[in-house]
Amino acid sequence: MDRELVERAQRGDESAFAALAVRIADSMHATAHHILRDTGRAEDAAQQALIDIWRHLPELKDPDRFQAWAYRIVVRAAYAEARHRRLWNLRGAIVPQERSFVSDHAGSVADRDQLDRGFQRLPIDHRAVVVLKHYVGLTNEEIAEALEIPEGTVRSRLHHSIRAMRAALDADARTTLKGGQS
Amino acid sequence: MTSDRDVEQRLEDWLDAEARPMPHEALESALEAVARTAQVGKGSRWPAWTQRRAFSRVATAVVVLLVVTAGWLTLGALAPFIDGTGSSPSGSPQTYRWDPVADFRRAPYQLNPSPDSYGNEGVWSYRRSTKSAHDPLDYFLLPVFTSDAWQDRDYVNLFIGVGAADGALYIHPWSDGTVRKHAILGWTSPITGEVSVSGAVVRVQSDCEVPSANVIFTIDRGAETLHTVAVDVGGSATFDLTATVSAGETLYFVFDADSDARCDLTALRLVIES
Repeated sequence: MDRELVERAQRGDESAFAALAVRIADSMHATAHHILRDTGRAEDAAQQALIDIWRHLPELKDPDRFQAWAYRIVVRAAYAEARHRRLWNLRGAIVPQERSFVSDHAGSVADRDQLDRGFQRLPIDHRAVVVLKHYVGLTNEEIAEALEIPEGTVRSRLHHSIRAMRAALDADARTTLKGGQS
Repeated sequence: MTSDRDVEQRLEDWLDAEARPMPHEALESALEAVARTAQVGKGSRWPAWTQRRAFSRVATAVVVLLVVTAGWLTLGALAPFIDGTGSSPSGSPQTYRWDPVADFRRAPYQLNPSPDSYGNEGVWSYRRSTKSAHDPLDYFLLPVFTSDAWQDRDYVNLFIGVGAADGALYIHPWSDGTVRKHAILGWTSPITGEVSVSGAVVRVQSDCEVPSANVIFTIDRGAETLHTVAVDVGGSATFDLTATVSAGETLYFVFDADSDARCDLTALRLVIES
């Protein structure tokens, strides 16, 4: 990330912040969407994160740490949105349907469904670690800094998540095979 | 048995394919909120020499001089209006009138925020909150425009629009019982002074066949509540108040669905006059 841009935004330069926001917005939104699996709430979380980043930017001591710091804020915003959703689901309300989202790059529909199901079963704090590692591309050390957790916890969550995803994929594969044979 | 590396690769491909860019309107709305938001500071960001007493005295003198000069210039510019020889954009000296229906811009001229009939930019805004609290920092612009209404992207039952030419604005807030997303009409004052705010709210669906909570209608100046009333199914309420506003300050007309959004379509008739 452009250090000069971050420093200008820290001094209150709105145009510099707008330039920063344009660079990080898509990634922020995608991160929130991956964690929440809900388009509307991901949008709310990403918007809230951008505002929080602007507000607290003067508190960032090292502009070179901007990226990890910004992801910490978007993950927190996603957690806050998820808390609302959990209460919502407990009350049995109807969750608005996600719009269909089709991509040819992730393999077959069945494959995507398997991944989606497996991923949704992960606890949200595990999802956050997986997204920062396998989508954003942060190192374990950066993830630990972003989420303010020990690096060992990052490794442990990644290990458990991959194991759970593999179990989900293998179970689905067995079900498909069984269904195909009957 | 699938290997860890295979799982990771499939996961990465899937996450990349599912990555959704932030909608342009959502980014614009966030940046608009940023422009209204002060940064949290850790003490003064001015150089140390500006903290010295001598600098402070000189700075104070300069500020006083600037204020006095600006005052003289402003009085000079306003003199024709003060003595009655000038005219306001409405053609009637010192009287302005804002009506959200008259100023509502239909396709393809829609804007959010939208100007008033005097050409002042950004006077009307059509917003929604993401939470129940009345916090202007949480009020985002509605991103989607249909032929006659601004609406949310996902919660399409949250909208603000006009109907047939009956002089009312139609508003529908949203709630699931826990999370309430208010529908909010914003009026950002182009003037400094006292304004009268009058009108009525009417719950349109009087024949609602399911239980429905009140719609809570509130008029806020920024985050400060000036007026609030709960309107039951089929009910209505009028309001008539005065408020002092500064140029750039916003009055928010907030529609809160309370515990459910059933039969919450509400009509608003509103006139703001200075």
